[in-house]
Amino acid sequence: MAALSRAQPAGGPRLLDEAFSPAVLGALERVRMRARHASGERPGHTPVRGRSDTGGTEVDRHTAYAPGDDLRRIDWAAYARLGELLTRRYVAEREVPVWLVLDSSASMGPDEPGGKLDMAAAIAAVVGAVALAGGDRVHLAALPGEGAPREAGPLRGRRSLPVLRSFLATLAPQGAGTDLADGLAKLLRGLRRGLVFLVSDFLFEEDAIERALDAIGRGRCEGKVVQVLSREDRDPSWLHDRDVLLDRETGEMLPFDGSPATLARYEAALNAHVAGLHAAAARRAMMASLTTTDAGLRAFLRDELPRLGLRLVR
Amino acid sequence: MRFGWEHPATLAALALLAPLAWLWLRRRRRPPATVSSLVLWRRIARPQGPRRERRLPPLFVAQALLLAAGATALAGPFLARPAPPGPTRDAIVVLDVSASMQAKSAGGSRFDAAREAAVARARELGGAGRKLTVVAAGSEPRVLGAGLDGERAARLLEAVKVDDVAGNTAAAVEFASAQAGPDGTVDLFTDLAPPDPVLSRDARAATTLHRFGEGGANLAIAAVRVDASPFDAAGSGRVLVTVRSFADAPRAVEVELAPLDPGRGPTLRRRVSVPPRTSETAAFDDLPWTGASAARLVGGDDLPLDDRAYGWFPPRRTLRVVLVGDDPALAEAMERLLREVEHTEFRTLPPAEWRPDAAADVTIFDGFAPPVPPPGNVAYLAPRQGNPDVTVGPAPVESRLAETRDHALLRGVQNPATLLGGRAVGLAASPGLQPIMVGRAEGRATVLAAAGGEAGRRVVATAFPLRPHDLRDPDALPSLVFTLNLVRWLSPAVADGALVRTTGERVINSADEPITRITAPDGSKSGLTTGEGFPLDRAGVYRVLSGSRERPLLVGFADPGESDVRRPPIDEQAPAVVAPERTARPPSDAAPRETSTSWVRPALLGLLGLMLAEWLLVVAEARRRGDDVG
Repeated sequence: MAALSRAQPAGGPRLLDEAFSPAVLGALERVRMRARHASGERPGHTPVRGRSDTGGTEVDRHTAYAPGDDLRRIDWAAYARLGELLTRRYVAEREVPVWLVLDSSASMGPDEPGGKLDMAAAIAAVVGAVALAGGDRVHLAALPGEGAPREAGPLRGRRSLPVLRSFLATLAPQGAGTDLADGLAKLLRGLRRGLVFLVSDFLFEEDAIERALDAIGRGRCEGKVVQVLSREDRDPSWLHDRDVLLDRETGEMLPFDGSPATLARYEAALNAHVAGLHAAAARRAMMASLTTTDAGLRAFLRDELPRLGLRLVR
Repeated sequence: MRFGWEHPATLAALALLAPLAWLWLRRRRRPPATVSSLVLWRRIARPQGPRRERRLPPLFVAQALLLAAGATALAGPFLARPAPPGPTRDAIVVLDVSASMQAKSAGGSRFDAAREAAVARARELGGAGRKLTVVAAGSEPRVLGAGLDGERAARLLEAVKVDDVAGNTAAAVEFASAQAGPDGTVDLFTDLAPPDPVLSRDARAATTLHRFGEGGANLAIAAVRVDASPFDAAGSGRVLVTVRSFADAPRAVEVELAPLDPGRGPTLRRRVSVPPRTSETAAFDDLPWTGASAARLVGGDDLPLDDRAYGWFPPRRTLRVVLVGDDPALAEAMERLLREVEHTEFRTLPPAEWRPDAAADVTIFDGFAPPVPPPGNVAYLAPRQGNPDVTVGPAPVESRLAETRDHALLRGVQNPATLLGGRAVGLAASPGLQPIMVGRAEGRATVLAAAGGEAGRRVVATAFPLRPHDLRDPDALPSLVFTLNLVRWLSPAVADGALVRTTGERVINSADEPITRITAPDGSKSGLTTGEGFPLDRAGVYRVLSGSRERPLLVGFADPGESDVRRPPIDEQAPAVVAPERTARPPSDAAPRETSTSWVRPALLGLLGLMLAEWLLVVAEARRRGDDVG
C-alpha cells in the first residue's frame, strides 16, 4: 500500500527528466560499470580481459621461467625473495562498447509520464550516463513493434549527454508484433564483445525471449536485461469488474471473467513468466532485473542498479 | 424472558434496503480494459460459460447491514427477564488468631473461649442451612475453608491455633464482608472491644462482634540489646533488657538472663520496678558466657508470650587478620586501628610472601588478588587483576556514587561517597557477589563495592582502596566505620553466629544471608530456594542451615499493640456481643422484579463497526481501481 501511494501519477513529471536532473547525475558520478571480466576501477578504465598476453600492460600472473621466455619479463624482485625465476604474464585489454537497446513497441505504452517507456528511457539514461562518465563507447537503439530500429551513436564522454537525452525523449510506443530477436540480431551483427542492456516489458512468448537473449549471447556479448512492468501489469485487481480485455499492441479483444480466481491465476502466470525470464538470463550468465513504474526511479537506482553490475565507488 | 422494542415504528427504515439493492443491482456497462499484452491472459483463459450473475459486492452487504443496524438501534431493542430471587446469603466466621488472644482468661485463654464460641456459632449457622466460610485473622486474613456445612466449619475451627504475631483484624473483617456480599453475615470472634476494630460502614452493617476477655495487666520484654562484639575484651560485654509495663499499677518483676545451653553458665537475675505504663531497663554486665541466651520475666502476668526474649552474645576468640599488600602506610594505619580492638591479631605480608595456607580468619588484599583465593573470608581492596572470587573489568573509570544497597558493611556509614578516591579499579559483575555500592560513569552503572559468599565463606571486593590517612583520622568516620564493618562482617564469629529476629518477620534465602533450610521450634523442616522467604509465625528457637553450617535462629515476640491486653469490662456499655449496624432491607415479599437489558448500545457499536468496515471497503475498492486515496 505504501508503494502504491508513492506511485508516479500519470501526467506528473517525466522520469526521464528526473534521470537527467543534477541530483541524479551527481549521484551517478560515483557509480562505475563493471563488466563481468573487467579489471579496472578508474574512470575510463572498463576493459574486458582477453587472453593472457605478454604484450599487455597489466600483470595477470606469474609462471615459472621456461627457456625462450623474454628475459625482460623475469621478476627479479621475486627471485631475490624466493630464489625462483618467475616470468610475469600480462593481460591484454580491449575496449568494450555499451549497447542500450529499448523495446519501444506499443505494449510499452501508454505514452505518458511515469509509463513503462518513460521508465525504460530513464533507465537507459542512467546506464548511458554512467557509461559516458566512465569513458565507454555507447550505442543507442530503440526497437519499435514495426519498422526499422532507431539508432544513435557511438557516443563518447559527458559531452554526449544531450544527444542521449534527445534520443530518449523522442521515443514513443508504436507498432505491433514485437520480435526483439530479429531486431537484436540485425543490430548486433558483427559485434565481438560488448555490454548489451536490453530494456523491455518482456510480455511476449517464452521462445521469443529465448531467441532475443540468444541474439545477445551470439556475439560473446555480456547481456543485462531489465524488465519494466506497470502497476496494472503487476496487480490485476483493477480488472475485477471488467468483461473484455483489449491488447494495447495488437488491438485484439479477449472475453474476460474478472473473478478472484482468474486474477489469482494471472498473478501466478505473471510470476512464472518473470521467473522464466530470470532463469533464461541466468542460463546465459546474464544479469536480470525487474522494476515497476510505481516503484519510481530512485528505487531502481537504490535496489536494481547494483544487480546490473553498476556499483558505487568511494 | 421477553424481547421487545422501545420504538418499533422506526423499523420502517428497513424499507430503504430495497432501493439500495436496486441501485447496486443496476448493471453498469464498462468499456474494455486495455492491457499491455494478452499473452499471459490467453494462457490462463478458460472456456467462457454463460456470464455469471453479478453478485452483490461486499460493499453492498456492508451498507445494508449499516442501514439495518441503524434502524435497529433507533428502534431500541431490549431483552427483559425476571430478576433472580437474590444472592445466597453467605455466613463467614472470622476468628482472631493474633498474639493478644493468648492472654489468660478464666480457666484458659481468650482464644480458647473465642474458638469454643465460634465452633458453637458455626454449628448454629450450619443448622439453619447456611454455607460457611472460615477465616483466621492473623497478620493477614487466611481463608481456612469456604462453602462448608456447619460440622465441617466447626472441625476446622477446632483445629485452628493462635499465632505469635500481631494481627490485622480489621483487614480480615473487611475481606470477609466483601466476600459475604450485601445479604451475607460476618461473625467476628476477638478480644477487641469497640471502637476496635475500625471498620467501614458496609463491614459494620454485616458484622456481629463477639468479645472475649476483660481487664488485663501485662509486663513485656520490649527489647534485649547486646553491646558486645568480637572485638570486645572478655567480660566487657553488656546486655540491657528493657521491660515495659502495660499495667495500671506499679509492678516489680525479676528479670532472668541465662544461656540457652544451661551448662555454659549460671543464670543471672535482676529485679526491676516498673511504674504504670512505662519502661525500665535491667542491665547485665560482665557476662560469664557467650552464645545464645534467653531473658525471661519471672512471675506471672496475663500474656506469657512476651515474657521471653532472646539475644546472641558473640564468642570471644582471637580474630586473626592478615593484610596482604605493599603499602606500609596502610599496614601501619590498620594495625593502629585494630590494636584498639582487643582480641585481634593483626599482621602484614607482602604479596610475594603470602601463601594460601597462611593462618588467618580474615585476609585483606590491598591492590592484589592471588590467582588461588584463600579458603577463609577475604576482602579485595581495588584489586588490579581478578581471580575466581572477583572479576576486574577494563580500564578504571571515574565513577560517582549513585546508589547504595542495605548491607551490614554500610550500616552506620553516613556518607559513603567519601570512601571513593585513590587508585580505583573497574570491578565487573562477579558470580556470587552482589553489588552493595553502585556508581555511574559516562552514563553506565559501575560496581563500586560488592559482597557475598557461598558455603559459609564471605567475600568483599571494593573498587576503591582504603586510604591510610583516613584510618588515622578520627574525623574520617565513614572510612573507620566501613573498615570496622568490613572486619566485623568477615569475622567467622559473626558469620557463624545466631540470627536474632522477631515474629512477623520473614527470613529470606538471600545472597547476603544464604539460608537453605529452616527447622521450626516444633521440629518441622522447610527448604528455601533462592529468594524464597519463610514467615516466622512462632516465637522460639529455630535452626537454619546457612551454607554448610547450622546456626540458631532466635525468634522473640515484641509488639506493644499486642502486649497491651487491657480490655474494658463486659457490661451494657461494652456488651459481649455487638450486633451489626443494619440498615432497612427491602421487603422480601415484593413482586417479582424484572431486569431489562438494553441492546441499543450493542447495536450502536455494531453500527460504528459497520461504518468502519464500509470505509475500508471503499478504500480497498478505490485502490483496486487505481485511484489515489491519499
